[in-house]
Amino acid sequence: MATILKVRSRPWASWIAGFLAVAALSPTAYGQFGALRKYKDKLQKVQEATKPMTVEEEQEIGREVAAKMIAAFHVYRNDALTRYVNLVGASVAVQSERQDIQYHFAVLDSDDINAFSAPGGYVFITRGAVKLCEDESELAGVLAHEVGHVAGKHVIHIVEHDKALRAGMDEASAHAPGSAYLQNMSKNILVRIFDQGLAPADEFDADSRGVRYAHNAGYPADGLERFLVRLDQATNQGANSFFTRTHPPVKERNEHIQQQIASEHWEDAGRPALADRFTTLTAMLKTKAGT
Amino acid sequence: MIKKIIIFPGIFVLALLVALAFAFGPLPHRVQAASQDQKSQQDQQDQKNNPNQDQTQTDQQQKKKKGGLFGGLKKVSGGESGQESAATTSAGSKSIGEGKKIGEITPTAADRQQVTDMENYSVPQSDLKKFQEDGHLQPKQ
Repeated sequence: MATILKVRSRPWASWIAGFLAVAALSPTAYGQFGALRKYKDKLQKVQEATKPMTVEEEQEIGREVAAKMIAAFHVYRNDALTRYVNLVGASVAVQSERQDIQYHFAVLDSDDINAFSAPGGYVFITRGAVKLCEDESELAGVLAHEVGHVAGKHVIHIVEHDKALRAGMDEASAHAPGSAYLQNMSKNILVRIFDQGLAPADEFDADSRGVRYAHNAGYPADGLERFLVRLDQATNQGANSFFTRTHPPVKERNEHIQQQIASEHWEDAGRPALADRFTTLTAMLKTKAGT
Repeated sequence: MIKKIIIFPGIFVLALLVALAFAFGPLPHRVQAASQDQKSQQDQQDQKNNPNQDQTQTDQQQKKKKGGLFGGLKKVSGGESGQESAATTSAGSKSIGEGKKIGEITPTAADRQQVTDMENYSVPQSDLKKFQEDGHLQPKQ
């Protein structure tokens, strides 16, 4: 059997072939450009998410964290104590190198011994921590340590690099109080502060800054060190296990503080620790029922 | 017996173009693979930058899964009240170290007002100066 191959010229067949080829190529071409567009969008989002946080954004996040803290622990309402803590806090905060934000201070109605700071300058100290202080220089040391965290932007630096958290921050609705973005961000910050703790280097940095602020405010530089010794004793008695879980050992922290004071020649005896004023202005804590 | 096979020239063009499309065009599975590869590289980079984030994301993923399973139940029992009970437990026990629970609290308008009060509270410069003088503090100017 013989086979004859015959090529027949038909112009319309070429047109159909061309049409079919274009149809076959179109989805892939679209897919290619679509994918490129997707990558570009992703890259843009990553760039946006890693850009430094503005002061306004920091304050919005701090406000949300502060609201949650207040919701959990409640503010201890006493005008005299609020005023006193704000005066001591302002004395040390004014010595901070970071003055692009305002620092706000409040006492939390908790027997636990602790102090916290939120981005944007919100500083909290518990009633229990104020009670543990023996003089004003210790209170100043504790508040100065928290101001140091804000000034060092320790929490902000963590969230600045968290691309997943910052995704969607540019949407207008993200900045409304209680928005999903702020909820998510504040929750992660609270987990970091309460459950995981900051990096030891950040704690040492806040100590160093705090000692300097307290010294420059006119207090003895070792107020924080003395407070930490007492806190360590309370911790060893099992009164506050949270502190040991989230902070470097007190012995190590105090060694750093002592080195700083020695190298700066801040062993200034004669500076006022103000024990009497402290006792007078915090007397209401001794009379509170159950304390 | 002779068998005739007729071939149209368009067939050659079509075959060539389809072959080219398959050879160089990004097929869906290739696009997906490339995207997954990039995501995996990005995740690895993220993990290097922030090891704790991984844990948080895992927690969030687990939560999403839980939400999927118990979403209906939560609606029946009331999502908001569930959040409030977490807040009440936290506030009632005054226990610190429960960041996750505190993070899940939805602050009330009163809580937010207290933050505003905190922001509006300021110590006049004259009072601060008097306070420092009374305590014989000599701040660095």
